[in-house]
Amino acid sequence: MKFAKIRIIFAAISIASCSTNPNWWKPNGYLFTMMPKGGSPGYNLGWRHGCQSGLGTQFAGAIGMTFYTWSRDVDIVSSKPNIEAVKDRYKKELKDINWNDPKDIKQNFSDYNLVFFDAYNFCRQTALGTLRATVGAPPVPGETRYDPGSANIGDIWKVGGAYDSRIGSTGYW
Amino acid sequence: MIKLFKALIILLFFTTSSCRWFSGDATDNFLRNFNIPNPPGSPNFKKGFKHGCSQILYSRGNFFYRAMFGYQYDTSLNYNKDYRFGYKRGYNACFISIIASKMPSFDKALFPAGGGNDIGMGFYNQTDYDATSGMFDGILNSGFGGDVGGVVDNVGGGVLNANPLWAGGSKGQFFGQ
Repeated sequence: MKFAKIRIIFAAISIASCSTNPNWWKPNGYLFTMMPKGGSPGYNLGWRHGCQSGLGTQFAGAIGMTFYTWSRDVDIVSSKPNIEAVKDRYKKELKDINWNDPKDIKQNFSDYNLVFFDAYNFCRQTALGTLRATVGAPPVPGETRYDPGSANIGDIWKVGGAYDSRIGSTGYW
Repeated sequence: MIKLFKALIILLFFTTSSCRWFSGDATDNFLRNFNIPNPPGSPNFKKGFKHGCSQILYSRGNFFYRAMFGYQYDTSLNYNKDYRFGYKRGYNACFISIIASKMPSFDKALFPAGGGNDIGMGFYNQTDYDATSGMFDGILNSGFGGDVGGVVDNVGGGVLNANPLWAGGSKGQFFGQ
């Protein structure tokens, strides 16, 4: 009985993070938990869209492209934003925006644009970094296709691959 | 004997007080052990530089870097020009540094091996590494009772087959430089 309670508590704690990070089950989904705190609703949405877009590029490989895609919202980034469409589309994400205050709307849309490519770069570089540390540089069109059978997930912890940081190998140590 | 000991302590104090690790601004000391210049500038610029650098070192570094760095960003400074400028500068500076990693040993520059990816002086040799067994192999193998290194050894050298701290191995080498 005691163990059952502990198991329930453990399970509750384990799945508690799922509600805050809907991408937890996707490859590189943990990156979404690294979004900085304290941003406006527009900033947070821009960060998520940027990260999704970065992970949906070829830098993250076919697996990344399967789970993510380009997500930049044209109605927000347009020089003439479609406020009504945005308001309807992100009822939950942008609920804290005061839609009656043009200044607040403008500020949030500006935050969205500011952070989008920061997050895009971070997430795509992280996905690429993981790939390079494990299977090497992803192939470009014309090269031999990547063979998953030639790599191993344990190579993430390989110290002698790309970005070797041991003494005597890099300029950092 | 006690006098000598005291003198030694005083000498040690004066020596270490000038050490970079103990001087300077504590907010940017994460760059102290790295070969990346710590740029002069306003506090916001420095903070931005640190955040940008930390971000790309996490992204493109191996698990050592990922253990030390992470995504850092101060949302309250979104529109601070110094912060944003420093952030971009830090990102770019450290990006160039990390993708150009695997700086070879000094002795290899003096005595180019002429093999692998050597071009000219041998400065860019990225293949000629010592295949010394890793220090964890024995521990893990005895702990798990099997060849753990072999399990994850599909591409070139295995995860556990390399020395995690030392990539050199040539004689006459001081910290690989």
